[in-house]
Amino acid sequence: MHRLLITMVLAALVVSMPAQAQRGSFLSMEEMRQNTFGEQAAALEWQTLWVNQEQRDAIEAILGHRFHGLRIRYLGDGQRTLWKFEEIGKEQLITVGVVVDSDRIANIEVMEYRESRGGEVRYPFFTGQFQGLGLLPEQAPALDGHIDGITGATLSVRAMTKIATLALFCHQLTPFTHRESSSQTAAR
Amino acid sequence: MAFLLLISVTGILLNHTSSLHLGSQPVRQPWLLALYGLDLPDIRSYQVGEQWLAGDALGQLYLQGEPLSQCNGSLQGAVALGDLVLLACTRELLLLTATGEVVERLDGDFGLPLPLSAAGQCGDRVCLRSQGQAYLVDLEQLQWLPAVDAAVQWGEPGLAPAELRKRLRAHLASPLSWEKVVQDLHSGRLFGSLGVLLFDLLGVLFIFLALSGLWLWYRPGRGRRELDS
Repeated sequence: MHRLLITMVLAALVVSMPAQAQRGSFLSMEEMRQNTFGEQAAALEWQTLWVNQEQRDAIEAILGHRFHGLRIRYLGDGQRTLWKFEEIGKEQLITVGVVVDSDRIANIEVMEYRESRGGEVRYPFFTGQFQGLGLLPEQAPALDGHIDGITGATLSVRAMTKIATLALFCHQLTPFTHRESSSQTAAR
Repeated sequence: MAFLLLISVTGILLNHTSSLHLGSQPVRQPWLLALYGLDLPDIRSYQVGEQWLAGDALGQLYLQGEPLSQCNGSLQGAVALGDLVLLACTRELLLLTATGEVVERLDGDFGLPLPLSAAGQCGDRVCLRSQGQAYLVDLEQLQWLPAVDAAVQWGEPGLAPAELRKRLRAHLASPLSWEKVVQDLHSGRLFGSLGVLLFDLLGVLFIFLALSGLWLWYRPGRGRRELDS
């Protein structure tokens, strides 16, 4: 009888462990900032990207829902920018940090995951797919590479893809964009 | 009779608890919650212009008595900032349009001094209080400059109109469901340990009545005695 009880308790623990392991806060903004900009991190100030109506329309097309933000805060240095976005996976917000360097994704990290399922999107086997991706030229904002989905995490994968696209779109509106730097260099 | 009616009705309700969704129906009657030593989440309401903003201890925000959004921590203050409204929760600052759309969220990542305990007007600017220190808010530059506390007109929570309070109470999360109340009515637990004892005694009494009635109806030799008399 005791053995049966212990087995049942252990089985319940094993079943509940994956759900517990999915949720969590994995990376703070301070760590993300330090990892992205190294020694200059402390000296950097928040930049503001003001959103006009045309940009708002594009952002809403990327996200697939209304966007009410007046402005988006980010950090930038050289041709590199760091963005923190939140998007709903299934029911809860996923907080994601995205580093864009020379108009391509240099890093994407799940900073906080609140859903009970789909947390696999934070592992490098998935996030690594975004590295080096940019936006397709002269089209509605979309990634120029394919992202393989994860069974059981479809909505979280979709949210991550939206955030990556949004970060790339926003980056090209900043003075830190490669295009602007290139045109400035050409002008000189 | 009343006891029989009570356990019959509650028994039928318990049989259909799923289809009646009793488990997900929150109890919001203060007198009933008081019987369980429970209370609805603490609510703070602030008036900004013509509108009332409220927040509970769980971080749920309400505009004019209707659910608005979640914020990190409980609501500590609300002030007008031009056409927008600034809401200060314990660990987050929210900027809303007059219609309640969240246009910006700022937290400790942006250097916001935490935890926040009040929001107020300092001239035509907005000030926040954190750990006894007042800060002047500059949302353009994202700066939180120390200010003189006495010079700030801190926003105080107020009593929203009765109609709004009623509307808000309909949305409040409750720690008690109607299923639990019906279960406790059925068992007598709602009336405390004496209630359970009373229900036990009444139960025994009805068992005795049922058995004695059966025995009187079918006791041996009943037919012969009736014929003798």
